Amino acid sequence: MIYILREIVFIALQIYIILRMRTLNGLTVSERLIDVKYRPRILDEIVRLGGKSVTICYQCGSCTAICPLSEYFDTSFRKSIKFVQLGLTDLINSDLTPWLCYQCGECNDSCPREAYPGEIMMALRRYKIITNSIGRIARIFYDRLGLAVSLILLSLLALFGILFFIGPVNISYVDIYSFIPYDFIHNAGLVLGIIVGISVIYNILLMYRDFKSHYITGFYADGYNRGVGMWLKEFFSILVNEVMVQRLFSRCDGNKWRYVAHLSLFWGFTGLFISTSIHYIGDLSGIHIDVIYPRLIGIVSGILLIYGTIYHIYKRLRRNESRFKYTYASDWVFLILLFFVGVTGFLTTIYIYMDLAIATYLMYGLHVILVFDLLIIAPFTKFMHALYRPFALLFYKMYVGGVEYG
Amino acid sequence: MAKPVLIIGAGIAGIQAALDLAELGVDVYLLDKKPSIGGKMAQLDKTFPTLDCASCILTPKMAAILKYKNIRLLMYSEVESVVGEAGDFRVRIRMKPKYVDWDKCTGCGTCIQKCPRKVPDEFNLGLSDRKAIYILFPQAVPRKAVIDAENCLRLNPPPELKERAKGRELCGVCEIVCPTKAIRYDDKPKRIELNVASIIIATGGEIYDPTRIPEYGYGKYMNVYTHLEFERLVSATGPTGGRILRKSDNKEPKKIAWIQCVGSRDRRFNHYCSAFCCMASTKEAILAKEHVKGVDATIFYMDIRSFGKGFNEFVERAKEEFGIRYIRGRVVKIEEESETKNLIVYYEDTFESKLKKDVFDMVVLATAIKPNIPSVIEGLALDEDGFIKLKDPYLDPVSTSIEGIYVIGIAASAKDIPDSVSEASAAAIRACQLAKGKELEVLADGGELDG
Repeated sequence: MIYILREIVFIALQIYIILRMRTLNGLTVSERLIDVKYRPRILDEIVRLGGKSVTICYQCGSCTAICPLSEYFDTSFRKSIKFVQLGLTDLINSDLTPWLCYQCGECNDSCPREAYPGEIMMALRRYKIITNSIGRIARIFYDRLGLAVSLILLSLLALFGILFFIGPVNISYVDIYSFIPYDFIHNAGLVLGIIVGISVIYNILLMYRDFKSHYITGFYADGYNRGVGMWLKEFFSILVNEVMVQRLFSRCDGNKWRYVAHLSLFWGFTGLFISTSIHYIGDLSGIHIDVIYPRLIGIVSGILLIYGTIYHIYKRLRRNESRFKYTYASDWVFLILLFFVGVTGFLTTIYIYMDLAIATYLMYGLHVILVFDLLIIAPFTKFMHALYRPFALLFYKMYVGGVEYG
Repeated sequence: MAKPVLIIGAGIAGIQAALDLAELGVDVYLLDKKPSIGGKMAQLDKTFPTLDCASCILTPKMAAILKYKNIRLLMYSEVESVVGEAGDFRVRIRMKPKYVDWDKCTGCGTCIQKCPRKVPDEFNLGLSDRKAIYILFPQAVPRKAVIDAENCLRLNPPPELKERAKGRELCGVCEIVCPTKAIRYDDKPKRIELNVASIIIATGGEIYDPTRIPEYGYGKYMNVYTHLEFERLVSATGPTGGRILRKSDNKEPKKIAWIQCVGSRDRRFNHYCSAFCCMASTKEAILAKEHVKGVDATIFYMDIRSFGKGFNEFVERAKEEFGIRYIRGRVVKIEEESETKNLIVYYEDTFESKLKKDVFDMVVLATAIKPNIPSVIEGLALDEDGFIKLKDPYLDPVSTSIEGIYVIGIAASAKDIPDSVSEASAAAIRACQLAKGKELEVLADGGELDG
């Protein structure tokens, strides 16, 4: 509870800051730049986070010129790298470019310095996830030891939670709620949801603040009409085009299979979320919903999720394409957690149908622990790109202008 | 008695070293795989930063070679093996058959006129044709003809013609027309062995094959040239007689782009900077401005390396006096318009941070230079870029890892003409010390000091 209260105070503070913040429009670029903080140490940070070759870039602009997104956005990927080289922290924080990147790998292949600009973009994303989290807490997940220890601790916490609330287990036939009581799983889920939700909102507000405080007239052309209607219109446009269909991804990539895999990963996860929600809302509101529908959605989504994760794990293990060449520890954790969440959920369903009580309970327990791990670290790991990217696009479109879908 | 010195490669560096050594009274063997001396510089039109005509500087030096009795030319030859040590190298040399008796050949060119067989001219980089019997270029030294056996109808007849001939000898036109009866179809390769005091490697380099860089479409798009090809194109002795004409439609281009660092400073191909391309492109852009009225010349660069004497002023002059556009940004890909054969280039103007595309009539690639390394010399250390490793780049910049073997010009590192020439003189003095070894050694040996 204290944690939640603290979160709320933080958010109130953030909103206050954002409302008070004066946008510095009207100042010239140079006046604005005087304000920019210079911290050369950020270079080491980006190198540590996977942008190993940021120093060898000689700023030729090949990455910008080859990038399929350059046609849709008035942006320069080279400039993001320059900010890092110069240590212009504020401009890095304000820069939304890394969120646009779909990691198609074309820049990696055409970079004359073999600097892997795509990997630098990924490193910048990790850096942004860290700086946008409460008290930079996310940094523990970008350290191998911290990642391992925190995952073990979180898993143990979930395990103890299950053991503490475990009911009188029925082993003669499958009764899930005798293993983990109904109230516990739902209330714990709700609390988890609230914590994660607050975290996510906080992160996005921070991103907005950083973006607004240093986006510079002249660097970024000032946007157009920014009424509420426009915000909503853009929001729904992004929701449909960028989140649900991921149109730019399909235009980004020569390899359509990666697009399909990524989309199925997204819809797999979303489908599972929807099926769980239907189930839960049905129970909560007392409306009887035939269990077959959510279960059907769940099975289809599970297959999609497993397919998507297997594709990405396989590609990242083979490492024969430049975009899959380097994988950061936290990326592995994210992928593997997703994969095992899918697999354990699937097996649980199979065991239920086969009426194997103990196997079901064990698998279900594992599934719950993994889901807990996945969700609790979601605001601080790669998972967050699912929300950062659409919002980054929204801010970008509102203030800078951007893609029109033909 | 002084032993001779062998110079492998008769480009401007080799020529300069030979002249210096000859002047010092040392016997010189000047060897080249081509039938004429001159090397790459003979293919250039003008030189930077003064815009002097390259031939006008080079030809007097080439002619001077013939004046010295103690320079012996080994044209159309290759080194087969090198054994021995400083002061006493034994070198086996294979002289390719020329099929022409050079003692008799006067270089009149009658045979060339009558020869029926046309093949792409390597001196003009395939932009024009030469005959199967040929003199490498009009100012060639020595001005003697050779037969390209591979393409000669007599020496290597195509199978279908051979069948029709039914055992009779084909062609033989040059033998008939030669006024001095110099043609020898039965010429065989000759091997000679030399005993030399020192060897100077001046093998120079070749243009890096730009077809390995697929995004620029060299070889696929007709109007993409290398800078050496452009050099031939603007040269008065070139395939078009000095007019800049596109391969696709024989029209003068209105917009020409130069792309710097093609294959050099690029970790995918070559790490090193090819040193002369910035200046060469600037020069070529100026030449284009002089040759074609109102042409738009644009140079895409990352860094302009105008380090030499007068180089920076040259670039400034190009910008201000000639109005050549310099755009900082690497062209990342080229596409061809299928009808006009114009070229669309994609790049980021890094001063404006904007993705741009522009259409050019002609694109010239400032391709990297790769060294020619004589692989037959055992134990010759190379550096990681494939150039010959220098013993001490600071205080002994012409010595290789083998004592008595010196390296000058592009075989040691990418460089321009002035640097190659000064290295040549440096190496000449070193080789001379070895050649005249005994006398000099006495003078140099001051004995040990006591205590």
